[in-house]
Amino acid sequence: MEFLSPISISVFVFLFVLGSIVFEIFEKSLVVLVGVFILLFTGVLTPPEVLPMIDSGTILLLMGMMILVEGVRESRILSWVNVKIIEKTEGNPLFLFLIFSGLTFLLSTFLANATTMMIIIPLTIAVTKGIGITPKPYIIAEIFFANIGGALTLIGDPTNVMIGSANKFSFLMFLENMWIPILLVSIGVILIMVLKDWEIIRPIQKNIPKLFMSNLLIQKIKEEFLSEYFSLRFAIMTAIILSITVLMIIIQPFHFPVEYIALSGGVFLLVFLKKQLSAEKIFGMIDWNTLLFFSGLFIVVGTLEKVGALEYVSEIIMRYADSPLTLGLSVLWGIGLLSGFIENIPLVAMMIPVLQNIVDSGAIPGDLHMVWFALSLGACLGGNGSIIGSSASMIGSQMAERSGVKISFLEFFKYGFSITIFSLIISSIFLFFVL
Amino acid sequence: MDNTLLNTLSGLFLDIERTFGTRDCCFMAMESLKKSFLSFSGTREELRQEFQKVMELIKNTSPRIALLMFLIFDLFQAFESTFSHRKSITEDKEFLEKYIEEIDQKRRKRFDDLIAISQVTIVDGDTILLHDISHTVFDILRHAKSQGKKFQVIIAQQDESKTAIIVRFLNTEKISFQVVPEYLLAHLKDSITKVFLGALTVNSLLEVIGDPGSESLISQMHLSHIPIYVPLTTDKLSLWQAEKKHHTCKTQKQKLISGIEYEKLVFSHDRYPVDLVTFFITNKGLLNSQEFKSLYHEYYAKNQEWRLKNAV
Repeated sequence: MEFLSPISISVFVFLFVLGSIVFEIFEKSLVVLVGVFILLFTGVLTPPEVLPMIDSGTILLLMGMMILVEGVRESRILSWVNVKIIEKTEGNPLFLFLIFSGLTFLLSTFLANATTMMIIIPLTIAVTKGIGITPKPYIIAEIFFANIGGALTLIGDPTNVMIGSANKFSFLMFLENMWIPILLVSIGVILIMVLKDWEIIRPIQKNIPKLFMSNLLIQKIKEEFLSEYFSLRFAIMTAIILSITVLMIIIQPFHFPVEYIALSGGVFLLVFLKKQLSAEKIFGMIDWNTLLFFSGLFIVVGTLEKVGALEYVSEIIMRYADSPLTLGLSVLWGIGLLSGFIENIPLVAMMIPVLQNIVDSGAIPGDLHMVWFALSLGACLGGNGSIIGSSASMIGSQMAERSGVKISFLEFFKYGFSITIFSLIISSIFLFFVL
Repeated sequence: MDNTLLNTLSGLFLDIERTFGTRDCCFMAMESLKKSFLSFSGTREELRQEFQKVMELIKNTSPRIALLMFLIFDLFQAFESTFSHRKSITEDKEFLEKYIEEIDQKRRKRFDDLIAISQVTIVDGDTILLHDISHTVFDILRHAKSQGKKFQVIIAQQDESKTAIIVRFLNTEKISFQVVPEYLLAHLKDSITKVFLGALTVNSLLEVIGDPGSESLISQMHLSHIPIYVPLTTDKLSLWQAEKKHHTCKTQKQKLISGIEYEKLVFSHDRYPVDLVTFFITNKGLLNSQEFKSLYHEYYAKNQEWRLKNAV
């Protein structure tokens, strides 16, 4: 590899971006933009190549859901849910932990992980801060369960959509092949998290001072909710529009792209509720920083793909695969470990034709269809490896930071990497039995 | 004592008191205390120990909530003196629940007396100036409105969120009102007939502890000979030796778009002499400042024993 070859420059830029994010030298979005300009000025990228590298589908889906979620937030229906949840839990941190984790898992099976995060994180921060505990373990667990839940269904994660579409897998087929490893991983992860954060989330029924403070905070949140403007009609209308949009995303009528469904849902909300919602205010609330970060990251990773750097990785995985099990395990671990640090969408996009060729060539005897699910498990569960490993972790951490809860790269990595290894081990045991 | 918990609780009291007023802060605290006892799971001895811990915590918060302190000390005394008469944790919980409810009923009675007395203070044609969030003041106005009295309100605009709460209240109650920035009040001094101000407490230095901004407003109104009314039930009096300390002050970093940074000082409360208040509306009657001082001294003397026993 020459010192100034396109491969070395793009790898350098990627490492620079990764390093800057790891050590939090600059704002993430600024770092990726610097990376993009280095690639442009060195000629590795040409200006016409830049925009097509951005996955407009993801950006538009995020934007559409941000509009919807901000509209829903303005309607204060989330505050209503918030009050109901904390009343039910009586401020019990363990119940809250289980409820939020379960809710995240369920939502992410049919919603984009980023969207799930946008719905859950503000609620989590409000509730946990409300009862005087740190939201960090809650947010981290939600990130994990967004990725785990996303792996379960055909529409739970963009990578599953790509894999399902390439192989004509049905919704049920996905569920049938994924429920066992996902169930086992979920149980394991919840146990690990509860044990690890027991000091924070343990019940406080024996501690009157803490109980008193929790109850007082719940009272305060309730009074705040009751003292502010709340229109039931407005809340119901926003909930209906959000539900219809989510339903349309699930059934995807006429194969209409989900990003346009989300965006049209957002636009419809602003038009239909124009008296209650100021479009200017809602547009101002869109998290442009996150959208810019995503766009820049797509370009940096797209360049790695363009110069062929990612192919080396895939070649290494394929070199050792001579049976369905070794191929499945290579794909699971290779993609799983890489997904912790590299956007899994381009990785999966690259792996689909590679695997298709292997299947078509007949070089490896036996039924290889489970290898596709190994790819899905690796891509989704591997995303928990680091804070830049998935949209859930990126959006989750960015949203948390906006609310004053900073989760650093290393802080997340301490949890995430061990959870990923655990998840991959469970998945490997599952593959061992089915391949 | 857990200092983190103490600081968090102090901050919480301050936050609730600022947003909802002292009365609601006490009400919420009492409700929370009751719920905490009811959801406690442990032995009778553990309950006893935890009770002492929460009492120590409430005793040491800043600001101290007088009503809550009286409640918890009395409650603990009653709990301890009858401890051997009860046999199970369920009985303990029932006792605590009932006792808190009884105290709450007494508190409500005192409050109803205050509202009844307050009605002589509002007459048709009044233009009343409001400044802070006081649910006692809100209830006085609500009651006067329900009695068919014709008056209007001017809100001295301060923190946006506080003004919004007053606006929402007046709008809901269909009470006619206008808002004027606090610094422009001088232009309305001829049309304002009286001022209603909320108060956290009155301390042993005979100072009223009120919302930030109260002191300058009250001084201005005093100069214009506009009568100032402060409603306060007797259970809100701070019957212990007050410290001559400065008010809690926070420094907030602010930044202009041009990049210039500066420090903004934010104070938690104002203190002003009882003498600046024309009338105190209490459950014991409508009292001028001299009468109120006598009432305070009477209560202070009565509580000498309580102070010594509880080391307050």
